[in-house]
Amino acid sequence: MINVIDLNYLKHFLLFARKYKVPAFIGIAMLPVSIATSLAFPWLTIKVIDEHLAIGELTGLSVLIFLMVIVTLLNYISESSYSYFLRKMGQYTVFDMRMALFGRILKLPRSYFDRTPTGVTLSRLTSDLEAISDSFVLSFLSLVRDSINTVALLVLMLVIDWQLTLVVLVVFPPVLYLTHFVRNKLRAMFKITRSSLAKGTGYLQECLLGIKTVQLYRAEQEVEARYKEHTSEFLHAQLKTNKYDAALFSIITGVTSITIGLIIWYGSGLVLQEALSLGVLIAFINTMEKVFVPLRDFTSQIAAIQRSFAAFDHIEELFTETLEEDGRQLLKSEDVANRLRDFESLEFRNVSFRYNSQTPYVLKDVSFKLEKGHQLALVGTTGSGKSTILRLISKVYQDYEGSILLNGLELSALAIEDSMHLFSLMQQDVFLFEQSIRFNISLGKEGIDDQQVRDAAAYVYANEFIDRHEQGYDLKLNANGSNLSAGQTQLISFARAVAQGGQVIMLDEATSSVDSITENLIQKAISRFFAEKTVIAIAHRLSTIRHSDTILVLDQGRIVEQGNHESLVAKGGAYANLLSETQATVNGALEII
Amino acid sequence: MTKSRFIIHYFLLNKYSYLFATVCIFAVNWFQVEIPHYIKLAIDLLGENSSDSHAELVRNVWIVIVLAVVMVGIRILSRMYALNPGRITEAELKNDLFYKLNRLPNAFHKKFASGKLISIINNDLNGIRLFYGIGFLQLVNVIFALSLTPIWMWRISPALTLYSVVPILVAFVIFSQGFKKMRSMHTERLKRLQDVSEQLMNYLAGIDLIKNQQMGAWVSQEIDRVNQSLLETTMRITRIQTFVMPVLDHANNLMKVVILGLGGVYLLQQNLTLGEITAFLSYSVLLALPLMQLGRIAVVFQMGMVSIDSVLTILNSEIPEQDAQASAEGGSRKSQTLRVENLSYRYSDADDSVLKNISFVIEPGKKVGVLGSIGSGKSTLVNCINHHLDIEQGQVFWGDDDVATMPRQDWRARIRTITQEPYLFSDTIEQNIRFGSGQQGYKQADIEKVIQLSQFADDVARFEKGDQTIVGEKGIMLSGGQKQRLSIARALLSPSDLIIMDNVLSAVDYDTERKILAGMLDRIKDQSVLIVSHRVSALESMDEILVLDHGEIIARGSHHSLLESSDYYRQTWLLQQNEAEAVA
Repeated sequence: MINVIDLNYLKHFLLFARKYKVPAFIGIAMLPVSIATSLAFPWLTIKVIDEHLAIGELTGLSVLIFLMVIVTLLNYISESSYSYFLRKMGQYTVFDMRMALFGRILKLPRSYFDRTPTGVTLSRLTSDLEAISDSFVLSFLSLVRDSINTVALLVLMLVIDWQLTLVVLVVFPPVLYLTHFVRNKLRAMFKITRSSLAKGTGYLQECLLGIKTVQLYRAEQEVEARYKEHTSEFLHAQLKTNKYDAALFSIITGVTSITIGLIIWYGSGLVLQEALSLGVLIAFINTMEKVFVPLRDFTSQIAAIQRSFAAFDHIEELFTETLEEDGRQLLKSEDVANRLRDFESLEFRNVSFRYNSQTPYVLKDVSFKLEKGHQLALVGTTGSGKSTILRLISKVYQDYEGSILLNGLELSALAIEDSMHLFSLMQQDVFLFEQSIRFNISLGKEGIDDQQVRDAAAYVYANEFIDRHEQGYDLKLNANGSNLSAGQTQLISFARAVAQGGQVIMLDEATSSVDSITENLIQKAISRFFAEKTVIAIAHRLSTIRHSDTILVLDQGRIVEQGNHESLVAKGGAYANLLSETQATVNGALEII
Repeated sequence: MTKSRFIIHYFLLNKYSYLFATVCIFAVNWFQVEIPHYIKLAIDLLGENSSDSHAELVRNVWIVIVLAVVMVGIRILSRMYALNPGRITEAELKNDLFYKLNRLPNAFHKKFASGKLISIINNDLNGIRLFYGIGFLQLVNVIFALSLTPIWMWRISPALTLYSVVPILVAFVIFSQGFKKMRSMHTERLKRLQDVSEQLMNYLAGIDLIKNQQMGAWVSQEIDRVNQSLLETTMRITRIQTFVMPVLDHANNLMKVVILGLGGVYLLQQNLTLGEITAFLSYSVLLALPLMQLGRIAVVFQMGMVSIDSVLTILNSEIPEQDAQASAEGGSRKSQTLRVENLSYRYSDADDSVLKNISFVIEPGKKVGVLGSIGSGKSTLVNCINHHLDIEQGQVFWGDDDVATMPRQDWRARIRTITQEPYLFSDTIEQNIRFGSGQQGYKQADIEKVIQLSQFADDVARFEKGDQTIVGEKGIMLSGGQKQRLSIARALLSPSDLIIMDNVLSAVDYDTERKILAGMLDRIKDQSVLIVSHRVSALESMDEILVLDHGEIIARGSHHSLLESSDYYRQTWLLQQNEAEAVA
């Protein structure tokens, strides 16, 4: 039964557990004590009965009784310590594993997050680790203790009286067979109940998501009839399961009494021949409970351990996932650091990119150059590749073809910490930390003091609404930004970009509409960037575009036009078309989407 | 429904089962205390060396074995009949909840996300199942066990009974204190675990920024903090679980020591026999087990109460009065005039009205169109007419009946809405078309007819399995246009007096749209139709077109009259003509 536990699964667990040798050692050392004391109890019981009660001898009884109290206490202490120290090791190990896994996650490439839903990663760090600390550690510890205990008890019984023990052992095979049989039935039923529950829940979910359709089509009775079928299928499977469950429970409990009867019946003959003492008989009767109850639990403990292997499996995957830095040669030297002190130029040379080898290219042969102090606007429809360009620059994706040169150095060969200080990214979806406004601007960087935070906020005209707020810069933001308006969130991200001191501003202009006052502030801040900084922007507003030195018009991953506003309008090509569509839109919004 | 009414209502559902289970549980407990009695008799006969006493001994042993076997049978019955009601209640409640949810209007569903509702039905129903199943079983069991066992012990020796229960009572006090503590720690631990999840979720959402700004060290530190506090709580629970909870178990051993020691003294004073001591040892186990279960029972009942509360939030939501009186067949059907009079609508969370004083009439058999851009209030208008949104009285009439006071189910027997985003079930195309046609067994020919009508036939013919093709979750296997045409077929299958189409052909090009509509309208001449669209081409053939802008009707008339009278209409038309050409 034990060989089903594949030790390979435990590789990482054991690796982390090694750190906690001391509690592990104490826990394991307690096991022999706990077993010895639990065996001593029936042994002392025999002594009490045979040497005192059966023959009417009072002297010395108190010593034995005192010993029994001591044994009970020792048993309590050793058993509790065994569980405590080993579980402590398990909990600390899981704690370390969680930190280690999180550390790994921070180093995984974007492609991992693209193919793995956040929920899955989250459940690796929470429910999978919980499964290990709960079902694995607990079941494993009890399984080990119970099985050693049961075997030791049987050995002791054999030594004391092998004939009587054989009577007990005769009961074993049918009981084992029966539990096995019922367990198999239960497992089969479990599959049925699982699938019928899943079907029912799935249907329920479908109906609730489509409740409007259900109601508009007057299909209430119809879906109810169908749901009822699922419910009753599940119910009947469950009722059957209940039957087997009840049988298993009752048989194991009943078999104790039956065996006791057998022992007395068989033992009565032996006692008369004086081949068996009364003490032994009574001790055996009292021990039966301890022999059979673990039998009931063994199979469920093993099942729990097997279930936890799925969790081990998941975690193993995360441990073997390729890291971003794996197989990447980075340029590292004083010289590189010096050359990257100030921004000089960023150049794309025939850059092509696709998210993975199965998908089509999203950038094809893109070349352009951004010099210090210049402004570059990216224009095009959704899916034209604008955002991808920003993602490549900010090193979210690194496996591009062609060349991206930052100050003449290949971007993919530069470490994030060496290169990214040159850029400040302002995204459409602003990520906020559940911290103060101050933190969200400074991002907790040591070199950024309170005054710099205020200056940055003032630079992008965010100071007004922050100061208006009672708590000012100490206002704690909600993670989803629900205590700020969409426009204010934008301004916070502007201030953050300024405070981080990047020499190049990367702007992904928001398309969502905001109230006109904030919109005005955003426009002012953007104008300021365009007037004073090096900017590369995904632009939607005509005003933003018009102020750029260079406009790149993208279509399906290619640059189709390049130039400034006037020259492109004069050309009357793709850019001119985009522009006229904008103006002709029925709603009249100034947006190119 | 109050909590106590709820508990009684579902309890009475299985009253005979509970009654039978109670009888069985009592029998099991009776046998349980009787068995040590016969063991006692047998043990006391062991020393006596006569054939009479040996026969007596064997008789007692047989009684023990027979009692044990019968007990197994009765125990199986007791567990089945005590636990099954939990399952039956769960199933019944699921159906009741679903019935309620199906009839609660949009206002309710907007308040409760479907995820939350599903979690109530999945998780809270577990709590209720345990309450009505294992909770009942263990409660009755413990009551009988704790009342019968001491009586049998008392009969043997009152003094020994009193002395021997001391350790177990002391332990029980410690155990229950520890248990209480552990319960509150568990709640705290769940909160800590949630903190970890939330933090992780947050940081995973901002992973790009965190990497780009090299904030790894900082977030690791934050995670370490919540992880640490989770560990601390876990360890506190572990300490209670390993050092406090087992006290009861070991007290059972102490109780045995008292029985052997004190009982031994009584025995030597000839006040007690060895058999009686053996019986006492067995009773000590029968006393300790139920005490351990008391804690679990408390948890089951606590959880059950919490679960009942959250289920009651659904069950106590009122189905609107008029909807409760829906007639089975949807009332008598006769084509009537739809009158919309000064309809205004404002969403409860908005400042401005989305619809302002809309008035129009659709006479039987007439085709009316509504043209409007995104945000003009088209879909709101549709959802007011079909009473998906709660409208006030006196705004929408069907003949002389006010729609606001008509049972929704009756109203929807007369009108069919084809929504902009068709919602399909993961079933076959045929079953999706049959959706909403109830028990009326439409023939295969009827299905084929509506597939033809909605211009969906060619697509279906191309599918390998024809109309038996499974469309996948929310119709994922179909294209947008196919989904829309399938939803048109679905609406056409059962007869209705008014069909509303809300922008239903947005996923097909202008030409196909025109073709589909022309073909379809031609075949359903007698039917009243309301078509809502942002495309002029879809509306050209309508009897009347309303131009909706910012919630107001700014112009109305036929296609040709509007081309002359409305600038907005003409401009939209011209612009869309160009687009259509560009595509061609």
